[in-house]
Amino acid sequence: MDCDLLLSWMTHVEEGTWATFRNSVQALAETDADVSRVSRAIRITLSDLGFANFFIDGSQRWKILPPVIGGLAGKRSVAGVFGGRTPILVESLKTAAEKLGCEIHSETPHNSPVLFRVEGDISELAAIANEVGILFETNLAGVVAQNLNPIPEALEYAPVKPAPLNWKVQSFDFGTGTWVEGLRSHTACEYIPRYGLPRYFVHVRRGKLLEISKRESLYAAAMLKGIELIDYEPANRRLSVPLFAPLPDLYSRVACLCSGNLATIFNDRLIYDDVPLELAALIMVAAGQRHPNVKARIWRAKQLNE
Amino acid sequence: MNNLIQNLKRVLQIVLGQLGLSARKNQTGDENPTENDPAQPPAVTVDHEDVHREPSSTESGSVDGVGSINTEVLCPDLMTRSGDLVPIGAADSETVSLMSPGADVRVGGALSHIDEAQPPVEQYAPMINTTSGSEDPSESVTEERLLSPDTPILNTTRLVVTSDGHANRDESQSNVWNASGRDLIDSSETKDTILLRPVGVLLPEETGTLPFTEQDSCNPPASVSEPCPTAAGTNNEAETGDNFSASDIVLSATGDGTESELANGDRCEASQLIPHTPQQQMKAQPKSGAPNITRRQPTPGEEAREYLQPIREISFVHPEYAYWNRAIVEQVILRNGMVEGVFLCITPRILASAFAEAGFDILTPEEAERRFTAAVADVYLKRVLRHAEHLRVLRRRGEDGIPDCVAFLAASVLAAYHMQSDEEASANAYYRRLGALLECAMSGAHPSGFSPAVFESLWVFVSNWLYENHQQRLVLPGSDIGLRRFVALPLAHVPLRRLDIEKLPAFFEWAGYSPQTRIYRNKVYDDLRRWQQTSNALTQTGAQALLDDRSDAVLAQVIGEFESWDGSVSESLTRRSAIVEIQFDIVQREPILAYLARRPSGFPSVFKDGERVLEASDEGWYDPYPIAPTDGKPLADGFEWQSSDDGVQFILHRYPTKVLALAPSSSYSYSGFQSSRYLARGIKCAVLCQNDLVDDAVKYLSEVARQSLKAVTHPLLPTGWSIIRDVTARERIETPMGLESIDVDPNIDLVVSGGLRTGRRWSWLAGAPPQIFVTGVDEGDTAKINGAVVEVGVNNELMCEQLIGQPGEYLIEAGHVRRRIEIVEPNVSLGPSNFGPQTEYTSGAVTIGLPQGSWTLVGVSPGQVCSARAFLRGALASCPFLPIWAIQVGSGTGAKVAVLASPDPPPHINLRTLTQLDRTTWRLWASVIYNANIRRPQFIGLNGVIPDKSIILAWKQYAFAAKQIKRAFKRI
Repeated sequence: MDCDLLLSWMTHVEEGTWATFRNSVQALAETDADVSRVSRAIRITLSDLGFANFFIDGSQRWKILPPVIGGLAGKRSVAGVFGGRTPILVESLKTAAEKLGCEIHSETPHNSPVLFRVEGDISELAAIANEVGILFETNLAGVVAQNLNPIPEALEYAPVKPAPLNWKVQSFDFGTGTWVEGLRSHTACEYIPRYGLPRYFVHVRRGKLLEISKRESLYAAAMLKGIELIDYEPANRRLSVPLFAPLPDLYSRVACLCSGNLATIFNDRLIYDDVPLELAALIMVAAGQRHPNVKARIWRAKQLNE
Repeated sequence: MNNLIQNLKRVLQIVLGQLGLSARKNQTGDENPTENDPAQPPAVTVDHEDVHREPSSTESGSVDGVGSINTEVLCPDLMTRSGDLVPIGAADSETVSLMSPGADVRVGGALSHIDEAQPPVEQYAPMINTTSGSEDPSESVTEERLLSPDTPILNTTRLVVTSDGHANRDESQSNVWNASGRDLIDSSETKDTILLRPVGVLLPEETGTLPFTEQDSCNPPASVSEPCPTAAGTNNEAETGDNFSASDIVLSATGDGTESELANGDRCEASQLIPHTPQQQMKAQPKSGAPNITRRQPTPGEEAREYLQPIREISFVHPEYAYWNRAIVEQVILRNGMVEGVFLCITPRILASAFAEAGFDILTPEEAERRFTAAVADVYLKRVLRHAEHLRVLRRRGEDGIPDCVAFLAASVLAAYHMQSDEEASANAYYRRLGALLECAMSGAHPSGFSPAVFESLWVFVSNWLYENHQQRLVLPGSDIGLRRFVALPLAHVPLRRLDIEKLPAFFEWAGYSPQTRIYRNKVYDDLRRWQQTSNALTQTGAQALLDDRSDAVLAQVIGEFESWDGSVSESLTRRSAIVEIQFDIVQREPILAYLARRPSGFPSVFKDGERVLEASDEGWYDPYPIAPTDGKPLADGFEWQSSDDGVQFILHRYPTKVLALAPSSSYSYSGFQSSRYLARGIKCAVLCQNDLVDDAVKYLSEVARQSLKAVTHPLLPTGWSIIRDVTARERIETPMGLESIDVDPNIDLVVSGGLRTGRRWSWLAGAPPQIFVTGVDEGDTAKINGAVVEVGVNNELMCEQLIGQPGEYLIEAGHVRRRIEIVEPNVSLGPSNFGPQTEYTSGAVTIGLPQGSWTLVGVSPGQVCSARAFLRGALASCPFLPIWAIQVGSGTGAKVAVLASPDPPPHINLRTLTQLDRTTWRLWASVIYNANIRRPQFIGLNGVIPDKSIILAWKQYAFAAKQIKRAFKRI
């Protein structure tokens, strides 16, 4: 389907509800397409690559992000074009890049709008952004990372809620990486109503239920259990998480914007490439895990002992 | 005869000269001129408008018109001589007693009849209408025949002395157009009740202080405090509103093709009868199907000719006004009504609906009113008041052929709509309301630059335009209603005011209507009367209007409101309800049903009833909510969901349903079908049906679709329900009992589906236009897009994909339906304000992830200090500067120093320039470094920076600087 047209529409209307987004996907998708699946896939793409925010403040709303030329943290002298855009804006961008002697490359992943890469030094990239009239950030992932909501804080400020009555409940089993029926202590749990959307909690001491978003609930529970879901390989600058525990939206965006690409799936893990150590450290610590240096040091110590 | 006319004119001039009056002087007002000039004798105030009528009557060239002139001229004179208005009642009775038998007498607007044959008497008295018949006593029979639908032609020449004291002729034999429609009202009541009633119990309208109202609705008040439903005010036009009577409204009667001519030269059909209840009007339906007319005589000297002086096109200068103007013309005036004549019914809800239907923005009623009045006020200020000809500049047609003044007239109606409910001004001050709406100061009794005569000419101009172009007539009050002549123009279109209009949703609910229900005029009228009888909810004014000959105007308003109604009801200040529709779509060959709750203005953005959470979508809806297979029973029995917000109870409900039509809908942007009250003819619909009715439904639908249809069940459908898909109704046949809700609607309409709709207006994104379907026509028929003929294709889709491919505005016309859609180029808002004050990209802070522990981060400059937040397994520091060192130091021995960035040497320090605040941070910066340094820190690498000799050297420089600062502070 034409995700660029969808992005143009989102740019034009600026914000809306999930239902309208899904309806627009349906209008553009193939007749027999699984609209739910396609909508979800496009949503992840648009969210991870910083085109739009979804489910803002726990609501069902989305909002387009401002167009920006963002330097990639993992690739020097390369920037991506993210945020809302229209065909006219893209043309302006190409014209400006050509004028300044910068190259623009593009690729179109599945269920994604065209991804543009602009190559040039910082001053040239800034000049292009200035010419087009959009924002420029030398390290977009780093800037986005400033807004990460640390999982420990999210848990600290999560409201204590009574368990919904007559809702079906599931708990997350980190051993198997699946949701299992029933309420288990000290883990993430999902309450599913007969109608409407499920709610997610973290079960903590004294049986309290702290309400939190779905993805955050897994990382919060993992933090409490001392389970480290995020792995980082400094040598490859590769961050990975289990497939069953995708990073919370903004975390995922930080990781993706390092390379300007979506995560790939390998060995049941989501792989984020070209993530610099400082951003990986930030993601891991914010997610309630240890700093990768500490982790590496302990690992080295273990190796030495063995 | 001409000499006689000239002589009478001279007499008029002499009399006026003696009175110190001139036509020009009085032309400004339907107000009492004494308000402007207290020195004026009160008698003059009575008939100041009559001055305007002289040339008109003269122009008519009628012999009887001479009498009119004399009357109009002499009346003020007579009144001046009498010196008081009070004797009018007595004068009435005297006049009546002097009337010749066989003549019809109007007292206060009511028509009476005198039985005995007498020579014609032309009786001119103010506030009395005397209809003189012919010498033949059988003339009285002629008058009564007028009320019979079988009497197509008015054969008599009748002279009418109207309530404002001037004479008119109703002459279908002549070509003179006559504005005195009221003289055609049933005379029986007058004869039986007025003439035989003692003078002492004369009703106000009989005394000439109030135009006629139907006698049935007017019983004398039981007490002083209880006003008669037709209780009179005065004849001062400025206080009009409340008691304006419908007899002032000359609702178009149907003629038989006999033509007369308007005073301004337009030819129109002569009126034959004035039915003043819906029943009478039904009886009076034209056999010939001839169009209606509304007769009103424009004020002489202000003919309703188009203002032809060059002036900038209004759509260029005031596009917002032009939008409203077009919307009102297309969606209010030209919309096929169920009542005789065209009413300019304007309320905030109708404005919002018209604007949306015309393809402009979708607004709440409040927003619509605000934008509309702002647009009109802007035009009034910048176009009307700044031009020497003032209101006349609106008496022209724009490039699109539409009169420019329609929106202005609509605004005048809106001002009338607010009468009797505006707390800021008395209910009587119409012009003050108009002035407030136009946001201009008052000049005397009127808004600045406002001329009643020109105002009247605008109405006539629109009426004439409507007749010339669309063979319809705008309903206008007769010009013979006296001092309220001008205010009566807008008032005629809003007999129900705001207080009553706001109660109509309760009536719709009471009557079992829901949005899109097909309603019929007679049913609405009957239901409304029954509702009023049972609830007595309407104000006295509204109730009176319903029962008298304003009922058509009432019906026009009610129907207009209903067509704009979104299903919400404010049952009280703390209880509001709205309707839940049903959405149906096929996704991957599976039926998907969902509740689609309406979200009227004021409803919460999140509706929680304990079990469900509905979030606001766009355009007045909540997001669809899936219907589970277990929902069969609630769907059949109806349900009610409740939510509370700020002490207000919000209710979403559905009525019990056995069978449900599902049709494509343009009212929202979702794909698929929406519950409908009928099946649109010619386009694919679906029907959801309870299993016990399914056989009957299939049989009926197969007949209307002229093809064999099948009902199917599916596990995803509600239990006990089946669906019949691909129902394309080809004809309308009588619906079997119980299947009324899947009746076929034969009307033409435009339905849009699919595409990428761009929010709150009828616009779609270029590259993703909608499919356009035309209901009520057959394949091969045509419609127009921007004037170009387009064929209706398979499934009644308009084959216009190429035509509307480019960005632009497209006017689609099919039958009487006109819709405008816009194809827009996507636009990106680059301003930061569109993304909030602090965007994701403007933070400016630097956040660092650190190992577990208590860390303090310092920057290159003294004063740049930041503490990290320690968590269970790490720490995060968000610094407003670029941190160089992360230092972990405790009370014991040892410390850790992590280098975060390539360290520049610290700057030169000048303590003298420090402020007190700086000193605190400098002291902290120095202490952190100093304390770490004296503990012989361990250097660790973080974030990829490995500590080497150069870094250790740099650290020493920082330690030295810190030591210097500490020493300096000690000295200080």
